[in-house]
Amino acid sequence: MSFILSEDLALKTLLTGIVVADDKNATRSVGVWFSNPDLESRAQSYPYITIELLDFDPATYRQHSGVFQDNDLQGTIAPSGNTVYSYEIPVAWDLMYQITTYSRHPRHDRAIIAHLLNKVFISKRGYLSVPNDLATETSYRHLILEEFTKRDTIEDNRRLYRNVFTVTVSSEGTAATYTTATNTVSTVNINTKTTTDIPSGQQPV
Amino acid sequence: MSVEFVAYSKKAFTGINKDLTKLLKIDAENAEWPRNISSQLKVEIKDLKIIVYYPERYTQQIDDLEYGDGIESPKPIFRRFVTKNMNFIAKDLAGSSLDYLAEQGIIP
Repeated sequence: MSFILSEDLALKTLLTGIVVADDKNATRSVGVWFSNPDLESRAQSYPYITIELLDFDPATYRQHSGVFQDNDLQGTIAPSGNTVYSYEIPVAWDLMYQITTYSRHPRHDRAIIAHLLNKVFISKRGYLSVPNDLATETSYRHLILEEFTKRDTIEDNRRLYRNVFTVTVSSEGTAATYTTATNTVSTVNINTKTTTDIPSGQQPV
Repeated sequence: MSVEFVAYSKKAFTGINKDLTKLLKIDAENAEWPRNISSQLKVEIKDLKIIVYYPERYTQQIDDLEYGDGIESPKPIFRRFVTKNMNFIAKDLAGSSLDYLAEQGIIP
């Protein structure tokens, strides 16, 4: 999966699985959606969380230049024989997301906040594990809590508890172009020939 | 030798405030904020913080635009604005500081 889609999925995976409790249900799952679901389904499934991509900026402060070489093209093509892919270091990006939590019950509201602050953004920082397409490696991205805003409101004459978390995810783009000009090193030969030009009193290595 | 940067920096920021206000208004229009709100936004740098001023009567509407209202998606401009323009401010301040040092004859 490519840049942005991978982070979207990783963020959804990270937020999925939160469970809250109340008098009627001790294991109520918190739904996770991209953007806002339809009003009908939303009304039936409080509490829930939405994820929205707000912005993406080139992260020039951590941009490197040069050429990478690997045997799976950033984890997108299964390694085959001695093929090595060579490509420019991709552009570093910072992705800004808004994570909004919605609940009708104050206890759900507090439980979700507690989960996010204690397990996702510990000390305002967390990490996002993003597996590659081949599922052979996982990269870990910074997940930084930039802002928290409480936005409780009234909807349909009932209290609606809302919280807005603004987060930044460090990321990088995909390789624009690549070549397969290089082969992997198959053997390394060191000192295959013993020199005869050895000073007297010394031994060859 | 000591150099008094504070007064000079405050003066330099006055020019930046106008530029930042213009940039924020453009951002607001691009994000399709209502014109009656976007036209009244004002940016000021105070104590090295970016402060945005807007008429108080629009507070709820602005919060809904910035963070979304639960139905409409957010159309953020403030959160993006600070991130995007920190470099602009740093560069501008660095430039004016160099000008100051040159004017004072500290650097040739």
